[in-house]
Amino acid sequence: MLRAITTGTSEVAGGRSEAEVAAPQDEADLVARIARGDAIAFRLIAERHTPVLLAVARRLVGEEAEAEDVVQDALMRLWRSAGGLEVTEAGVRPWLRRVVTNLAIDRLRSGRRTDVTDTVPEIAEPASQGALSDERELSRRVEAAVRELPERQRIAIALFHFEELSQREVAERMGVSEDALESLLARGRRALKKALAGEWRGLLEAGP
Amino acid sequence: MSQDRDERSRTDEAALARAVEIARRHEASATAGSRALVDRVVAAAVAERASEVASGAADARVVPMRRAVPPLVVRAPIRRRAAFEVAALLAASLVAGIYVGGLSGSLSTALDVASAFGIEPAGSEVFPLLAGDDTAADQLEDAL
Repeated sequence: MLRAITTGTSEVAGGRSEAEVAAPQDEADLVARIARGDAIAFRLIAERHTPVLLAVARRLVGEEAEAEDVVQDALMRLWRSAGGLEVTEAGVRPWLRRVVTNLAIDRLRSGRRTDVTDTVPEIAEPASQGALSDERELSRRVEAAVRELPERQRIAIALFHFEELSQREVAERMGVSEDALESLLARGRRALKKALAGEWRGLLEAGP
Repeated sequence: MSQDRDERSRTDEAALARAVEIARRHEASATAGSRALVDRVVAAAVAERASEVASGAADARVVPMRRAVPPLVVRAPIRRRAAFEVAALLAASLVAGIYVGGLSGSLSTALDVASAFGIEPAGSEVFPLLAGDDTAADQLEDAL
């Protein structure tokens, strides 16, 4: 474990970096080191969580550059406030995920981002016959379909289904009533089903 | 009819849950752009810390400026002493002025008024300068 912490960025079998392999139980130690200004520990944490945080941010803000800004802000918050952070057994990821979510919502509310409704580059294409067997390809199609949703539907789906917040929490964060949220979720689900029509049956057959 | 709708709804929910599960499982595999972002964030963090350290060092190097004027607590006794000296000088000047003025006339007049009321000076020996008609200057010249 110590080797994984100190060497950090090298690739290991399966294409995953050692930072990804390291278990979250070492994160309390890493966060303590970050609080003392240890940039190596900060890099390890950043490498471990950035891909996931980017995925969360992309779903919410919809655009790559905006998502990167949000993740950078979240990681800088960790760098600045690591001293006061209590790391649970789940590691620092739940905290980072929450910060990314809050920053993304704040950014959308303040209108600091550019409108990207016409610039989302990825369009969910019909699946080829063999694509459903590839989970990774399927996940990319799901992500693309989510990003295609209108902004409010996308946020509602991302917070409720992906971040697993309660309806009340989502409604509060979005500043809408729970009835309005229900409507957004229903429309979002219908749109997703339509966008993923080629994969829908396969999703059911794949099973958990 | 209603049963069909419920069944379809449950199927859709299951498909959506599966889609979400797959997407979440592969969140970490979408590493495009993340390495460059990590490099950028770490560089920003290090630069921020270096800036803070440099700022702290600059603060430590600042020599505190000494006040050219003593503080009020120190200045109060100085002011009191100066005021006393000025008052003493004025008082001394006043006494001297009265004395010299008295010799030149106004005190003589006062003594004349006093003698009119039967109050006599003790004698010329006591106030030799006041005994004659000569002015103080004449008497001083005689004495010298």
